[in-house]
Order: sequence, then C-alpha cells, then structure tokens
Amino acid sequence: MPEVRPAGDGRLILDDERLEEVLELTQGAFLPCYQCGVCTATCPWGEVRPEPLSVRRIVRAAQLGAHPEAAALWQCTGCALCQSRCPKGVEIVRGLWGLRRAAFRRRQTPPELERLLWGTLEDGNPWGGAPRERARWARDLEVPRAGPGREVLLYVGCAVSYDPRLQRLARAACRLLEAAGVRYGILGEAETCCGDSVMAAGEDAYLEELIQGNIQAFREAGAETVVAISPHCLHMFREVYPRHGAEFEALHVTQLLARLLHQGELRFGSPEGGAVTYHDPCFLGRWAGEYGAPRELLEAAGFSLREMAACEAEAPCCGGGGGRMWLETDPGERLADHRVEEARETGAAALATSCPYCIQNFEDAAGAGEPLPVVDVLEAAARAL
Amino acid sequence: METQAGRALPVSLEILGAGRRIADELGTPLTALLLGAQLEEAAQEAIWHGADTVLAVEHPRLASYRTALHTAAAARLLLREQPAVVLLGATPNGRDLAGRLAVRVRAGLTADAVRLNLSQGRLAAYKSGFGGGILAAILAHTPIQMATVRPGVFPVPARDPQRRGRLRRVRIDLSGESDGARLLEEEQADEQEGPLKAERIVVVGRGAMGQLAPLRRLAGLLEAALGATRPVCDAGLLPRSFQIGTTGLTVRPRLLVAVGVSGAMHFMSGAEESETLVAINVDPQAPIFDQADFGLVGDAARMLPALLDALGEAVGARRSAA
Repeated sequence: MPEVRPAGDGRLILDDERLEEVLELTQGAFLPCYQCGVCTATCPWGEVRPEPLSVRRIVRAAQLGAHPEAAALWQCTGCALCQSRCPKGVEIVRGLWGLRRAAFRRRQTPPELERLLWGTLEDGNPWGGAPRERARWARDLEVPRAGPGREVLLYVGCAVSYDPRLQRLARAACRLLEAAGVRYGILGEAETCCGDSVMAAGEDAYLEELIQGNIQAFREAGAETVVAISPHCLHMFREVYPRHGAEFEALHVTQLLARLLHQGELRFGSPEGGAVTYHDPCFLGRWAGEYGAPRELLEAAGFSLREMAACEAEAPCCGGGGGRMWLETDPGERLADHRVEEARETGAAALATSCPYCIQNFEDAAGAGEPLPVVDVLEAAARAL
Repeated sequence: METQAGRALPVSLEILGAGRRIADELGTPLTALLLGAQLEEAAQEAIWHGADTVLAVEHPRLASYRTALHTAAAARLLLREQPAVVLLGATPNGRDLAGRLAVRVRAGLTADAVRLNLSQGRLAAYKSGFGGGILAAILAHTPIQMATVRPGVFPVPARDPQRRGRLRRVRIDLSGESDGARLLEEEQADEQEGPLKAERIVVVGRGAMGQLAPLRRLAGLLEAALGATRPVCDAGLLPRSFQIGTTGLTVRPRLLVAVGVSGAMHFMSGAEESETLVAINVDPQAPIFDQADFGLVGDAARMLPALLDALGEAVGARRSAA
C-alpha cells in the first residue's frame, strides 16, 4: 500500500484502497460537493474559535481518498447547520460519521470516547451508571411498565435516567402523559442506550448489535410508537433505526403532547405567565424538522415567546452533539456561552429548550454570569397542569 | 519492606503486623528484608514493629528502586533462605517487584490482598474483585507463597522500643547485573500528579471554590490528592489534569471527600467507583447525598476549620503514639 499522509501538511498522497473504503463508508455522500465552502463559513465553531472548522477541507480530502485530520472529525457536533445551507444538498454529517468509522478502524478515535464505549457495553449507558438504577427517578412514582395494551413506549434515555437534574424531565413527561390519559409505559431497568454516542464514536459493529437489541425489546414490549425525551435518541429512532429494519413510529415527546393538545386531551388548568425564549435543539429542529410543537406547548401553558434573532432552522448549536459531551471544550470556546448570551438579550425570564444536552450545557454556561433559569419545555408545561 | 529516604513506608510496617501473626501460627521467625542504601533507621523500626531478624542489603545501586537490581538481589536471598511466605506492600514498586520476583523464585503470587490467613498450613490470600462484589481466597501450591498486600488494610502494629532482634547485613555483588536504565533525575510525586491513582481524594467543587487553602490542608492531613469538578478547572483554580468526570478522569479511590460538589452525572460518572464517598454540601437536597456513604450538610467555610482542628488532633495523636 502506498504511503498515506494526512491532509493539512500541504501534500495529499492518494490511495485507491482508501478511496474505496471512504466511498463505501460515506455511501458517496461527498460526491456532489463542488467545494464552494458555505459549510466552513456556516459552521458555528467559526464564531467561537480563531479558526473555523474547515468542513470543506474534510470533504475534499475524503473526495480524493486522503486521510482527513482525525481531530477535526470529532470537533463536529452534527448540528447540521452546514448541510441545511449546502447548495448541493450534500449529506455532510452522514458522510462525516462515515469518516469517523474509518478513523475508528485505524484507532484514531479520541481516547476520551473509549470510556463511553465501555460504559455502554458493560452497563447499557455511556455514563457507566448501574443498570439497576436506571429507573431510580421513578421509584416514588407509579410509572407503568411497557406491555400489552400500552402501545406508546416512553423511551427515557441515558442522560435523563441518570442525571439527577435531568430526571425532572422524565417525571414531568410522566405527569403530562398521565394528564392526557395516554396508555404509555417505560422499559425501566430493561432500557438500554439508543446508541447515539456509540455512533458518534464511530464503532459500527457494536452499534448494530445495540440497535438490533433495542428493536427486539421494543417489539416484545408491543410498542407501536416510541416517544423519546432526548432529540438525540429521536434522531437514532427516526433516521438510523429504519435502515436496520425498525418499523415503529418515532416521535419526540413534545410532538406527541402537541398532538394531544390539538385533540383536546391535554389541557392546562393553571397556565403560567411570563416571557420565555426558546432554543431549537439541532436534533429536534433541523434533523426532525420540528419547530412548532414545543412552542405550541409553551404558549398553551401560558408563556409568551420572545424569539432570539437566530431561531428555528437558523438556531446555532449548544455544543453537545456528535459525542462532544465527552470531549472537553476550552472556556471561551463554548458555543453554549454565546447562546445563553443571546437568550439574555431577549429579556426573557427563562431560557426554554427541549433537549437534555442543551439543558446541561446552558445551565453550565448560565451558572457563570447573570442568572438565567434554564427549563425544559416538559418542566414548564407540567407546572401549568 | 519498602523505604523512602531511609524510612519504612507505612504499608511495610502494616505487613510486619500481618506477617507476625502468620509467622506465629506457622511457628517460624519473621524476617524483614530491606534493600537500599541507608537502612539503619528502617531496620531498627522493623524490629520494634515485630521482626525477629532483619536482612539488610545495603548497596549504592539499590538507593532508589530499580526493577532489575532489586529483583536480582531479592531473588538471591529468597532462594537461599527459602521462606514459606513472602509479603510485599501493593505499592507501584511493590507490585512491580513482586511479579518478577515470583517468576524468578517460582512462587505463586496473589496481588493486592486485603485479608490473609492460614488454611491447613498454607497461605490463603483474599482478593476482592468486581468492585468489591466478590472476595476470592487464593492459595498457592508452591514452596514459596507470595502476596502483595493493599496499603491501609492492616493496622500498623504497636511500636515497642524494648523489642530486640537480630540485624544481619548481607553483602550482595551486583557488578554483573544491569538494569538497562540510567537514572537521570528523581522526582518526588506530589499533588501535581493529580488524583488519577490516589487512594484518597479531596474534591473541590463549585461550592467550595473559595476554600482551596483549607481543602489543601484537609488533603494533607488525609494524605489525599486534590481533585476538582469542571467549573473549578474552568476558573483556573486547579489544572485541567485534576478534573474528575465525563470529560476528565475516572478515579477509583478508597476514600473520596467531595466538598461543594452537587453530584451531577457528569461528575459522578468519573467518581462512582469510589469505595467510600463523603459529601459536604450546604444544600441538603444536593443529589450527591443520594450517592454518599456519609454526608455533612453545612457551609464548607464554617465546617472546615472545625474539621481540620479535629483531624489535626487525631493525626497528631496517632503520629505521636507511633
């Protein structure tokens, strides 16, 4: 095999075998690219770092079959702002994830991500929480378990199951579903990671195993609709699982609740007052195309909305996707700091969003300066029941 | 026995206590083996702590720990003396030496034992596995039976300055031995090492950022390393290499004292394998109390001085008793 050098040292040494591997793993995603560079100019990292992430260069290297710089591959949060503006409709993130798989095969995955892989393998969640504690958040609630007659499966997700702060989202979701009379259930201790972070790490063999295990568990539970609290899980269920044989309907919990609102099943007895601003999570907004449901819930719960200048399809990223929750970002370069600043400028009393990672990153950022409460739409809505 | 700057490490005194009991049951003398450059003080302490005989090998090339040289010297003595049981402290150096030595003298070796007793005249060394979930008794069927012993498990035996024993200085020719390494510089590990491998850790959380000085003292008294949560490293109070959690280190100390730490998942994912978790937090609702073995609710700024006084007295009393 000829010598292969990474792009970035001024030379590109081309390699036919590598080109074929890249074509296979990216499924030809980069072929339509004509190198205009809108992606690089769009990437939110350019706002916070002296050098933007050169998405264009990664794509060019891949088109030629040269090695991209591994570190750059894991800088991407998968926010998809670049591909939403790409004039050629290149599926940039899907292609990038393919390049991560190639890098994983060469052991170029950042060592920090190893832990999430072991955690998921051993404990069923990337944080290494004990499997028997997965439903601890529900210990003093009577949350029904999935089974016959309960076609709606509430998929809680790893972060919400284990983080004491985020567990409030699960509790709020249960209150709302109960109030609307939904016959839902959870898998409890039997729930396993959806594989979002495993995919981000580039480990495709184990991902396949995880996905098949989950598809079978959902089928055995009789689930026709799987409702996710995290948009990252939703993205897996909507975009990835169907390619592996899944046939269930996947919804975000705000989508189901908005549907119930329209049907008159969900009513708010004590609407709250006050102005909030809403941040569109990348994986609910751009990826799932859902901008309306969380806003409808907030308004029905009595809040008035004050939009940030960049919202809906233009909303920037909090920095938490694509495995970035496991990779450190230097202070001063954190996307969440900027977004929280934009939220403050609206004068809203709180920053609402509907993604566990956004909540964690924003609370982290908001804790540093002027206090700005960060709430999930579920928490805000449950208070108005 | 392992020494540092001529003094025996605490774990070396601890294994004298464990060894004394086994030797008495077997009806054999207890011998302390010392390898180093200046061993007078450590040899005396070994006898006062229970050794019948001290074998002291003084050699300038043994002044600091060198795997090959210490192995060569110890192997020669063990093969000559043929002890039934050999114990070492499960320190980094002790574990390094024990593995090679066991192969050299054809001994069965149990690493990191937490309990020792005799079973039909043979050494049963107990080792915990799966995060303490199981305890396995391991017997070696070799003439020499070896174990490394986890530091801090056995008490340091009472020191008796009236105790008499025999000091045998042994000369060993190391001229034919090479360790293929050259010592360039020796550096004492200090807190800059970070908390990764520490047995005890004091973690500074966001709620205790103003308490760095007393927390350093607390770490000193507990012989603990300092660790930090992400906001503390963000603020530049401690280096990033001290950060515990999702984007930092995963630690497995025997004791972790978390001060001003709320207990969010991103911290706990790096700390939940701590054997004993003590939490100090002003907020009784803080999730850390769900995970902690011991919890103190209160303002660290007000609690630390009292805690330091009490600990200082206890440590002082223990040291003067020793």
